[in-house]
This record gives sequence, structure tokens and C-alpha cells, in this order.
Amino acid sequence: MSDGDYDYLIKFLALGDSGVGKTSFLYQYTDGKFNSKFITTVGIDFREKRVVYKSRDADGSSGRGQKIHMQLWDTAGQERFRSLTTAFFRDAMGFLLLFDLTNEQSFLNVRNWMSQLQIHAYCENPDIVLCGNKCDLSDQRAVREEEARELAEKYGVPYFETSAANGDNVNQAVDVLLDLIMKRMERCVDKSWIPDGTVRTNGPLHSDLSENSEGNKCAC
Amino acid sequence: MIDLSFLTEEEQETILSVLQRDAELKKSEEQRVQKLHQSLSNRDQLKYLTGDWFYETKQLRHQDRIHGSDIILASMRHTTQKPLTILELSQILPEESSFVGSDNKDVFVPPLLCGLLQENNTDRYQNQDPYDTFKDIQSTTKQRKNPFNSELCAHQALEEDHTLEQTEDALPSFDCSISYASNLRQDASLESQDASKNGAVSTGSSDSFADTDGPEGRQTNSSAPRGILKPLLSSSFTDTLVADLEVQNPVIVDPSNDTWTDRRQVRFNSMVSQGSVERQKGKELGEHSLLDFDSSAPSEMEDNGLNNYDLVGLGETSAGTQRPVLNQSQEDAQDDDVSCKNEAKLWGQEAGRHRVLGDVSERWHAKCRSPAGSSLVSTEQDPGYDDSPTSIMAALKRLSTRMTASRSLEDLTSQPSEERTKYGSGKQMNQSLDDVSSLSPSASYSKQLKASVSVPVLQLDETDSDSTFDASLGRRRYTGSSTSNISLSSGMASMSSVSGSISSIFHADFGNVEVQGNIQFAMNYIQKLGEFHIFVVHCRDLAVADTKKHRSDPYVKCYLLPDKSKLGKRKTTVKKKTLNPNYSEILRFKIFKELLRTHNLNVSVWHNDVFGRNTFLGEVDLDLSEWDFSNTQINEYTLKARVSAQTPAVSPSRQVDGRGQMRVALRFLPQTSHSSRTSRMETGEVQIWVKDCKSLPSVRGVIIDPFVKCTVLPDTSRKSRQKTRVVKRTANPMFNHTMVYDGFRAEDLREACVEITVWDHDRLNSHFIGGLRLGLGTGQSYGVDVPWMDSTTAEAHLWQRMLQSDGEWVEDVLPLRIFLMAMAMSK
Repeated sequence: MSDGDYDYLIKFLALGDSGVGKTSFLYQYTDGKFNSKFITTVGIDFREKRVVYKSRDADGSSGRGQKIHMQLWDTAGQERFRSLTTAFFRDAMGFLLLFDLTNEQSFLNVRNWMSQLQIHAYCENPDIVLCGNKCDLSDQRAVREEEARELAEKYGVPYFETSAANGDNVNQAVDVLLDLIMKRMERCVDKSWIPDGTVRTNGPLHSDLSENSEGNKCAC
Repeated sequence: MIDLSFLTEEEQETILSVLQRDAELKKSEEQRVQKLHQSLSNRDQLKYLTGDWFYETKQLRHQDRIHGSDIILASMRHTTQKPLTILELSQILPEESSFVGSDNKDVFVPPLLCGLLQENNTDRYQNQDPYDTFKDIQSTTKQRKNPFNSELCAHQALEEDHTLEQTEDALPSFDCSISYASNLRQDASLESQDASKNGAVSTGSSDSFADTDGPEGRQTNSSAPRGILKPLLSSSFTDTLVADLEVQNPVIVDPSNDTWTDRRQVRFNSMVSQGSVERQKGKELGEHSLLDFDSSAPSEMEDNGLNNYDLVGLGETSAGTQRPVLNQSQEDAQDDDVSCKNEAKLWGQEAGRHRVLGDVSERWHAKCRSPAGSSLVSTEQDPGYDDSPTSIMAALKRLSTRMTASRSLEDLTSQPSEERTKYGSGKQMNQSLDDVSSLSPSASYSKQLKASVSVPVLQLDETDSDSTFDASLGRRRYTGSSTSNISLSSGMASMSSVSGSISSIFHADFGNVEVQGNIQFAMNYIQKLGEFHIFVVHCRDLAVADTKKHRSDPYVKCYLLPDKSKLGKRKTTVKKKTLNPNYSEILRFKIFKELLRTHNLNVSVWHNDVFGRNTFLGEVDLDLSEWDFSNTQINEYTLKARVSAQTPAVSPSRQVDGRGQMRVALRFLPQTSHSSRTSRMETGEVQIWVKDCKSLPSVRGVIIDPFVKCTVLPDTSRKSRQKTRVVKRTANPMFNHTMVYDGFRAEDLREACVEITVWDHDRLNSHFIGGLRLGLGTGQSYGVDVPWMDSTTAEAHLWQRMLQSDGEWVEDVLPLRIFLMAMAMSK
């Protein structure tokens, strides 16, 4: 997979309390599968995925596609690995902050995770997507959607109710995050430069990056 | 370095294998990037594709060549075998920074990580097989190097020969805090375990703060991120966040590190935006508080229609909540009211917080008209001070009685001065109040500004009882043309304290007396006694100070500058009702001849006012370095008007060299706002890197313990003030301390001025040595004439360079000079 045949290497990191579903979420995203067994992540892990990103032009037409190689870091939620995992925050360009919709404490801890991010990430306002996972367990839900949306709005981050089990919104959440990163990148570098690329053939298996549903306008 | 000893063997292996995969990925990425660098020339494109855009941003915060995986690897190595220095680590790991491609070598590298930046490593390791890393970890036996010299490193980040100390617990944790470009020292003390704590600390500390001593100082929480850490306490963050941080902060901040305290970045915008120009004016005026620690003399307050005289405030120091008390009685300038109130509040708070005392130390007389509030002077020291006087008069009365009682508090002026006594009576206070009330509230500020003429050359560090504020602080006349001053009892009582409030840069208004006449005196140095004598003969043709009564009651005062504190002033007697006084008196100074040669003799003539509001009648300045001491004749000198407040009449050479110099670097990073994602303000931050000072004079006559304070005018609030640590016993201290102020828009920078001052720390108080004012030197700020926009050509040039440098550091070595501080800076 790491054959160097891509345009961008993008690194994301998933964080959140122990047991919220980070590993499952990423596994669902990269492999489209779900394993209900709970195996706690030992410290840190990562998965990779190759996607094609098409930026949207101002007029709405889809632009060129770029090959993105994603490195998705999966951190342990357990306290004891905290010192280890925070060391990796600095390396990630974007973050998936997960909490468990059936566990209120995990939602309450989102605040702490946010501050950790602000401290350790590569900059003070990194791109983050908040995900309320396990939305499929509707009868065990302990966090109201409105609450979560409010919190997300407070932080100015997109919010998705996802399910690693059935795949709900998993792709969308990651796509949105990717889009945020790509947009930020453009802003950082040069607003006028548009990636020079024709639509390439989709090398790897998954090229499931469609026009993102958020419809983010380019903020440049 | 993180302590990973809690991991089981199995866990470590698992993690290692993850890191191994990561290394492979990094390797192939590196190759890809290399190819890109070769094939693509478009810089922007490169930035995108190589990921440089990310690393560039990251390096603003973290030492970018260290990836999280590197840290963990290093820590593991450390856990499993002997400690691995970063240097060794760099030699082990492939130089991943190659594809980082950072051109920015200016990033300050904490000494610990210096090894990694070794240029020569870059090429060497580009092709190193990442797998080697893991083998190496098992087997390496690198030689240990000498403990690095952190000082060297600070200046030569990329030089070799820096290694880390090789002690078990000495290995600094690579907690993210490390990555903050910081002042030398700290890096050492990062603690990995408290990653979160550190983070909080770092953020809480806002920017610079004095770092601990050297790498040995592995104290907790000593990381001093170079101001990159925007305070999460900044207003733009969500409340919850702030709350969180604040909660964390108290826990974390090491009490021993008292430099933590006033390190908040100034919210410059808030200061500015809150006010209209008028308010700004008010503020400035407000800043003219009478701060004269030394003087027990009452500080006068001007009644500019500002009605908020917080007499009591005087008492309420501790609470720091001084509210304007007098709200009515006086005439009002309604429009000023609000602003004054706020100002007063601000000052009041500041005053309250200033524990003057010892702080009196900064004895420089801020003689200015004080706008209400400030002089509130914290009468903290005054025990049993009433909280809220029910009436002004009552307060005044109380104050007056206290005043006499609290004389001792008034700093250190040991000798009661005539003026002080005069102010002692409550009666006078009442009188003055009455006078005040009769004044027209519309007295213009600008008039006041003009009226406050040059300040007596810095009466800094006046330890002797010469409080005389004499004129200095506050003797202002109640003339129609100038705004009147109210002698606040508080001011009087205040003494010693500085009302935090600040600013009074100006000396008291002396009334509009046009200087005329001459003075005759002779000078002689008596070797046997080790004394310098000034034989004052007479004055002729003096101006009339008291126009009402058509008279002057002149006396002559002498100072040896610039060390007024040590030597104090000498005065003749007062000759009543004459414009041609004859004295025939000798004023003596006990001082070594050699030392004398480095001074200026300042002889000034004053009208002694009944109420102690002495009027300046003229002065003469003599540079003793050029004086022929064999000339013991009586000489006649024409009296000159006040020299501008900015610099004493010192010979040019002295001016340049006399106070030492400072190497300082500046940069302005535009649009680095760290506000919440929802609302991005287009503000930037100013970073001031105080590097070192040379040739600082010994203002106390003994070796100094210098430190540097900084504030950005016109914000003179406590929040704006930052300071470095004290470096003991050196006239050439190296601080290497960066201060960051955020919330600036580019246009604000044209109106602001960074005031950097160097002080000699003394147990009880600090003595001003010299300073810089970095600004455009336009004389105006936001349309108002201000005395502190007085940058010299060199200072303004540096500031200008910063504005034009688009985020790059600009540096210069500037000579320090003396000026009246724009605010009373307390320690």
C-alpha cells in the first residue's frame, strides 16, 4: 500500500474515551467490517487507506481528483496510555473525536479531549470532527442529539451520529474531515493554486470519496 | 522522553511493531517527497504535496522534527536500555525532517533537541534504513557526550556539541510542551507524565516567563513556551474550556515559580476597542496618576471633571476593587464620567493589587496628574483604613490624620520634607478640594499635557527621604490654565504604594512659569573629606511663581544624576519673597571623585509654595565628566527650562553608553488568532525576544541583579506586564526571554509602543536602570498626544522593520535610556 503512488499523505487521529468505538470506527472505514469483540487498543495503532479526493469548484462542478493516502491513527482511550497517546497528537492533521451515545460520561469528557487537543496538537485550532458513535443502539442512548449538536457548535466542529456497527455516517464523517484538511491546506499555501491534476484512475480498491455531503464551501 | 515503564513487555512489542509500520510508511513517504522535490519546482505545489504546509504550521508550536513515534521509540529505548540521548536518537532514526523540508532554521530549538538539528546529520540519514532503528535500539552503545551548554544552544541552535544530560531522570520528557520553542532552560523540565498538566501549564502561562536555571532545573512545569502558547484563557475560547484550564492551572502552576503570575497576554484590542478617543484620552489622563512611592507627599489628583475620586480606594487596597467614590460634588464632565469611572476602576484594581511596598522600590516618581482613581494608591499598608468613607470630607480628614501617622510607611523617605508637612493637614486637603471643585471641568487634557512639563529628571530610586516629591509629584498649582489637582488624601496616604494604576508619566504640573534668570555657584571637591561641595551664592532675576501675590520664595536644589537614589538631593533654605535670593550656602555630597565624574550635576531652583506645590523656576545641568575640578570659582549660569522628560541632560556619550544596551528581536505574526473556530478575528501577535543586555550600570553602586519588564502601551494594565527572571550579579545578563502579546491588528501596531525596562532587583524594591520604547515614535497614539510615543530613531527603526518584515525576526542592539515610565510598574 505504501508505494508512494499518491499525491498526499494525510494523517488523522481518532481519540476519545475507552470503549467508544474508535478502533471499530476506523476498521469500518478502512475495511467496511465490524467486529463486536472488544479488544482494547494497546497504546497506539494505525490503519491506512487510499482514497481519491475531488475538490469542489466554486461553481459546484467536481474538480480534479487527487490520490490521498490516509494514515489513520487509533489511540488507546485508557488512562494509562494517556502519556503515550498524547505524544502522537502533534503528528495528526485532523482529528476524529468520538464519544459513545450510550455513555454519558464519554460525552462529558469530550470537553477534556478538546482541551488536550488544543494543547498538544500541531496548532491551536486543528480540524476536528465530533462523532457520537453507536447510534444504532437507540434504546440505550444516553445523550440527546440536540445536546451533542450544541456542543459541537460551541466548538465549531461538525457533528455526526455514527455507527461503526452498521456503517452509518462513518464515511461521511471522515470525508468531511478530509475535506476540512484539504481546504485548510489550500488556505495555508496559496489560495489561487489549484491542484494540477486530471482525474486519475482509482488505483486502490476504495475510491469512495464522493462529493461530501456537508457541502462545505471553500473558505478561501 | 516519556516514562513507559508501565508497559508490559508484550505491550511494548506490540507498540514497537506499530511504530515499525509507521516507519516504513514514513520512509516511503520520504522517498516520494524526495522525488517531488526533484521533479517539481513550483513551491506552492510542493508545499501541498509534501505535507509541508502542515509541518510549517506545526513547527510554530512543536519542534517539528520530532514525531510522536520518535518520542515513543526513544522512550522505549530508554526503558529497555540505557538512556538514549536525543542526539543518539537522531543518529538512529532516519532524518525524517528531510521531507519536512523546513527552511526555517530560526525555530528555536530547545537545547535538548539540538542534536537533531544537526545539519550534517540530514544528509547522512536520509537513506538510512528505518529498520536499522529497531536494531539499533537493541544494540546501540553510543558514547555519551558532555552535558550541553544551554546558553550556547540558545544562540546557536544548530550548532553541534549539544547533548543532553545523561541521567536517568534527567532525560527530559518529550512531552509536547517541549516542542514549544522556548527559552533555553526549560525544556529540561518537561514532565511526560503530566502531559495534560503540562499542557495546561503551558497554556496557562501564556507566553514568556522566566525560565528556570539551566537544564539542571528540572523543575516541574517550568516550560516556558515562547509565547506561542496562546493562553487558552483567552477570551475567545469557550467558557468551558476556559473553565477547565483555569481549574487546571492553579494546580499546576508551581508556586515557586512566581514568574507565572502576570504573564497573561494583553488583550490589546479590548483596551482599544472599548474606548472612543475620548476614552482613550481619559485613560491616558488616568494614567497620570501620582505615583510616587517615595514621597509621602500627597499625590494630587486632577479634577478634569473626572469625578471619580476614589479616596477610599486608598484604603481598599487589598480588595483591589477601588471604586470611584466621589461622584458628585465635583463638576462634571459628563462625558468623561464613564470613562473615568472605568479608568478609576481599572486603576483601582491595579492599585489594589499592587503591594506596593516594597515595591516602592520603583521609586520613580510618577508625577502626573492623576486622574481619578489611580492615585488611589493602594494604601494597603495603611492598616485599618476605612473602607468606604461616607463623605469625602470625612475621608479626607481621616486620611490626613493617617497620613501623618503613616509617614513611616511611605517608603523609604526617611526625611520628612517640607512639602510633606505641608500636606499633612487635613485642612489643606479640604482646601484643595474646594479649589478643585471650582475648577472648570472642561479643562482640556491637552493643556494638561502640555502643562506637565518635563519631569525632573527621573527621580528614580529615590531612597532618601527626599520625597520631595517636591514638585515632583504633585505640586501643581491651581491655576486657571491648568487643570487642577486635588490632593487626594489617598495620594498622600498612599505613599509607598503604587497605585498600580499607573501612569503618570508626567511630573506634576508646575504651573506655567516661564523660566528666567540665572544662578551663581561654585563647585569644589574636597579630597580629604571625599565630598563634593556646591557653594550656592545667589540667584538673580527669577520668575514670579505666585502670580497672585507677585512673589517667589525660591530655594535651590541639587541632584547628582543619574544616581539620585543613592545620593539624594540637597537643598538650600528658602528665601522668602524675593526674585534675587542670596544664599551663600554649601551643599555637600559624599561621593568618590571617580564616581562623581560619571554624574551630572543638576541644580534647580524652585518656588516653595505654602501648600508644598512647588513651582519650577529653572535649572542648570552640568556634565561632571567634562568638568575641571580645579575650577573652584564662582560661575554664573543661565537658568534653563525643564529638559524633556525623556532623557536627562546627559552628554551624548553617556546617553548612549551610560545605561547599557540591549539586544532584542521582534516579530509580528499577523492573523494568528486563536479565537474560537466560529469567529476568527484577524489579529496577530507581537513577539518580543529579549536576548541580553550589556554594560548595565550599577545604579546602586554594587553589582546589580537585573531583570527586564515589558508592557505594551497604551495598555498599562497588569495583564500587559510581563517580566523576565532576575539574573543575579551581572552587568551583562542574558535573558533569552520571549514575550508575546496578541490581539493586535496591524494598525494597532502603529499606535502602540512596547516599553521594555531593565531593572536592578533589590530585596525591597527594584531600581530602574534603563529602557527602550519600541514604537513608531510619532508622539501620538490613536490621535492623542502621548509622551511615551517617543521612540528614538533607532528604536523606531527597529519597530518599522518589524512591521515590514512579514513575520520574520528583526533584531538590533539598542542603547538603553531613561524615561519616566508610562506606568507604575510594580513587581
